[in-house]
Amino acid sequence: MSKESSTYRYLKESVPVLLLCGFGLMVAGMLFGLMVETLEDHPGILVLIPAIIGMRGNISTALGARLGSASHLGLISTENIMNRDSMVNIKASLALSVLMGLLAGVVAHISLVALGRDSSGLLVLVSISVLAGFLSGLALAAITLGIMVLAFRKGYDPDNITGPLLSTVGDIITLLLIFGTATLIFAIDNAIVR
Amino acid sequence: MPLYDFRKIIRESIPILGFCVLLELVGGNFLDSTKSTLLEMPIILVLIPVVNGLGGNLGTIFGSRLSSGMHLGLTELSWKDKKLWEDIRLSFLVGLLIFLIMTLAIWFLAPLMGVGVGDLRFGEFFAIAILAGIFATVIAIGVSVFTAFLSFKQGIDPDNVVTPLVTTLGDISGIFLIIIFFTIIV
Repeated sequence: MSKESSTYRYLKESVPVLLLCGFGLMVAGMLFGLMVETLEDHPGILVLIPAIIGMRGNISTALGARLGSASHLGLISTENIMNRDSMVNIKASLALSVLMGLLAGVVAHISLVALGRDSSGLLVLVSISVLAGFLSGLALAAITLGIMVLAFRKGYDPDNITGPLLSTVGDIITLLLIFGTATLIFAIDNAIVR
Repeated sequence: MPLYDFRKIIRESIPILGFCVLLELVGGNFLDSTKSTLLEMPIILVLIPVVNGLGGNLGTIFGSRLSSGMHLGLTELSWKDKKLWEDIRLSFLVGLLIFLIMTLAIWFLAPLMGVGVGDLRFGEFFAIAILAGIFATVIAIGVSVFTAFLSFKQGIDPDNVVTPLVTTLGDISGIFLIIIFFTIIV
């Protein structure tokens, strides 16, 4: 692989993907911008959002990057995409989602209380972050494998594709799931209190 | 032993991911502290995923290329490596172009979708978005190079360390940059 072709590949494969991601992220941003009322009514959600989206992105892009490296090393390909190497990676990413969701919920509540600001409660924040974290992790693992297969077939270098696509689709899915699970948990919470 | 081991991935990932979650919560608390002003101009909220995401994207593409390059022996562990500097220049120019396009797109499209602009003027929004975008890109690339070198030297798979650190520092710096430029300019 010569230097010129590598630069050309970067531009050809990355710029369209980045633009696509930019517009995808704008959709995520608009969801964020339209959920002003939920953010106002339920204290603590705004604190959790960067943490949940961040850990989701981190866990899933690390998964994509490890699978990308695995494909470069010849461990996985289109024919054996569901083999032991990819399954170990996916299970680990789901276990990490649950652990990190727990951490995020607990620390978000503690930090709000410590700073003397309103929190919707420990159990509520933990349930939202664990549930939204796990569900988005599951969705993203499936999407990762899909993107890998597509990248193999089109002959793209997965490194130039999976990371950005996953983090963008991940942001949209995760924001939707945070608000979905938040709505659900608050409904359950209200039902129990009444 | 196979290359990928469940326990090894968990063991290597927990400290870095936990650290990243804690950093993100600092960003979250920072956002929460400016909540009342932010909720009056929700278009600024639209910028957050875009700047964080694209900063992170530019950093992670860069980091993935770097770590694959190192796995394959194409990129050397040296600040003098020509390919490294060429990639840095390329990422920066691409970042600038993409942020210009996105700033204009958000300003014109977000209000159409019902996202409130408040008293914000175009010049103010443009300055906040471009400045935050450029600084976020520079930070993402810097962190990417630094962590890739460091983790490769320590014998840890850079895929498990570089990407999380780059995106998290991208998120935090994105949030801080947007809020800081927002406070200065508006």
